[in-house]
Amino acid sequence: MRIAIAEDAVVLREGLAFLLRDRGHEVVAATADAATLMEAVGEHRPDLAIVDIRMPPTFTDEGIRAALALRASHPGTGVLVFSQYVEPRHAARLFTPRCERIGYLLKERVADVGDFMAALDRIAGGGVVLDPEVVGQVMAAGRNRDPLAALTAREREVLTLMAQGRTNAAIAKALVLTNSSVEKHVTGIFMKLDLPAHTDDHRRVLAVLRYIGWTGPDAAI
Amino acid sequence: MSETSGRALLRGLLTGPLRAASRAELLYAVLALPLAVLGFVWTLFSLVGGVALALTPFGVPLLAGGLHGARGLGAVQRRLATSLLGVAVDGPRPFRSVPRGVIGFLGTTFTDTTCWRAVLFALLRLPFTAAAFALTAGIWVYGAYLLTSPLSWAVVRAVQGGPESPTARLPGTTGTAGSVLVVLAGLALLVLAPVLTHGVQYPDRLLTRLLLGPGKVARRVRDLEQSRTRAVDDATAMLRGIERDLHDGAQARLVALAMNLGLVRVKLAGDDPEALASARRLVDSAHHDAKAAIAELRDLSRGIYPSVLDEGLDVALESLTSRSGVPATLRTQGLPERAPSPAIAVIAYFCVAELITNATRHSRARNLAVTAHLHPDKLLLRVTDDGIGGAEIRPGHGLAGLTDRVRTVDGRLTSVSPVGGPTEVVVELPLHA
Repeated sequence: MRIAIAEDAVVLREGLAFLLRDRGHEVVAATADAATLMEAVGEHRPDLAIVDIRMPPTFTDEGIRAALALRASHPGTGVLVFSQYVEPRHAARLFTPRCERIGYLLKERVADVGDFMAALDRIAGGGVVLDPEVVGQVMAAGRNRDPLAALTAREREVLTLMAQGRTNAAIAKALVLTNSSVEKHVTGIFMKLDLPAHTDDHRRVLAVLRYIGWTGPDAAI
Repeated sequence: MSETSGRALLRGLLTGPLRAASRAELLYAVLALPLAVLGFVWTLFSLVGGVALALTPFGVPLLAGGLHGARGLGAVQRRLATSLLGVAVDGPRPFRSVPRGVIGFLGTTFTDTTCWRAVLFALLRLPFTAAAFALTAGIWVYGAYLLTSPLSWAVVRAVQGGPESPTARLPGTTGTAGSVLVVLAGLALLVLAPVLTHGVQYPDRLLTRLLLGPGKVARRVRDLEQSRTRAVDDATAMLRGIERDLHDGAQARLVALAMNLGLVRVKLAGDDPEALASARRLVDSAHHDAKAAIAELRDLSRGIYPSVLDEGLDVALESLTSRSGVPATLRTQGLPERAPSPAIAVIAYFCVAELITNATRHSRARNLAVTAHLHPDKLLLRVTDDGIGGAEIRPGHGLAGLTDRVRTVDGRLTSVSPVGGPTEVVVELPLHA
């Protein structure tokens, strides 16, 4: 796959480029800021762009803004937003109900090379990847959001585990339920959260987004 | 007095009446009188009236109105004095009723020292301001009258006839010589007018400063608030710096390290000799990253709290001077027999560290001398270098940051650094924060 990188820390930029090349990918550009990345994407049309959030000049949310701009200008290029911290607020800006080819991961996820490469493949293939840490933070905050009020206690438990990235089978095991009753709960959650019929993966992420409190791109910023 | 300074004085006198400051003082004299009369009448009326009506429902509101009126007029006067007389007086804290509600408002009003001081000001100032106005007006008007009298007299004579010269009315002066004398007298008065105006406004300036400026306690509160703000800002800036250093330094290195090790694990899974060689190189790189991360964390943790301070300030300063880029000597007195509080020791340590760094970077000094004297009531630090001097306390500069930090504990930083050197910076700290 052809990949462009924007990361201002030299040690990480070079390390990441080395890793990607070693795993058989082509790194078409390795830049230190968002503006240069935008140019590089325009020139090389890579399959994927990996973008650090905090970059010059303001070291705040350059990466998020670059990701949103790429979303609009090059919908065919997948974007992985890459950060040392995760912020549910950032996730809410990046993900929309119809979003695809987008990911938001902690930098330390590169340590598990296999999983990381799989995540890149999923994003480039049109999927959505959300770091479990985002989910964990939202759960820890224990926020009570309106759309969730309709859920039963059991459905909320299932959603909590689903948001942590567990499969239906794993959820069934954790809650001591049968597979079919977990499926029933999951369908109930999708229905109550008014999630569009789409791929299963997608709806699971979207259910979590609802949990974060995603109400629309304007409200989320 | 040298010739040049004598000439400067003469020029100062002659251009005096035309200067902006003189015009401002003249304007003040004109504006202050009605303000003084208003303040006096209002204050007297409302206080006397308020006391007289104390037993009726009107008494208390009238008194409160009087106090607030005096306070408000005091604020106007303060602004007038600041902008026209150049009297730098800080305003009081804004009036805040505690608790809210009518009772709270009245209670706060009657115990508000700013109000009562404004009342005192309004009652005391009128005679001085009135006298100053009379004198100022007299000098300027009479001076202008004398200066222009030949001209005005000529006009008067041309219109209705009369004596030949204006001086005819003044005893002992006649003819052209008399006219010249009168004009010179007018000129002299006008030249002296700004100096006299400034002089007669002295009571106004004094009273404004004494009664409308912040009182002793208020000033102390203000100082403490400022130093608290500085302390909080300083702490925030420090935390932000630490976060940035961690984010860009050790954290990034550790991610790179984990990434390399992750890749090594993949390579070691098979037994392809090429992959093994690559794994060896990756381990080297990971090893390097780990050591660099350790070094960065060590520097960072020393920047947060130098653990050597636990062995005493003298030992910590010794460690600083021994690591200095420019050869440095250290003399201590009173240490370690006694010690300042830990918070003071930390500030002392960072001051000396920063001053040594500054001297090393900017002064081109060849020798540094650090002394630390523990007096019974204060700690005196002195850092001297034999460099090029010219160090200034500029905002955003290292020395300004130190000054702020020292002031958070009521300390003081003074620096003497003439261009050409030498530079001496003295930091005076209390023994307890």
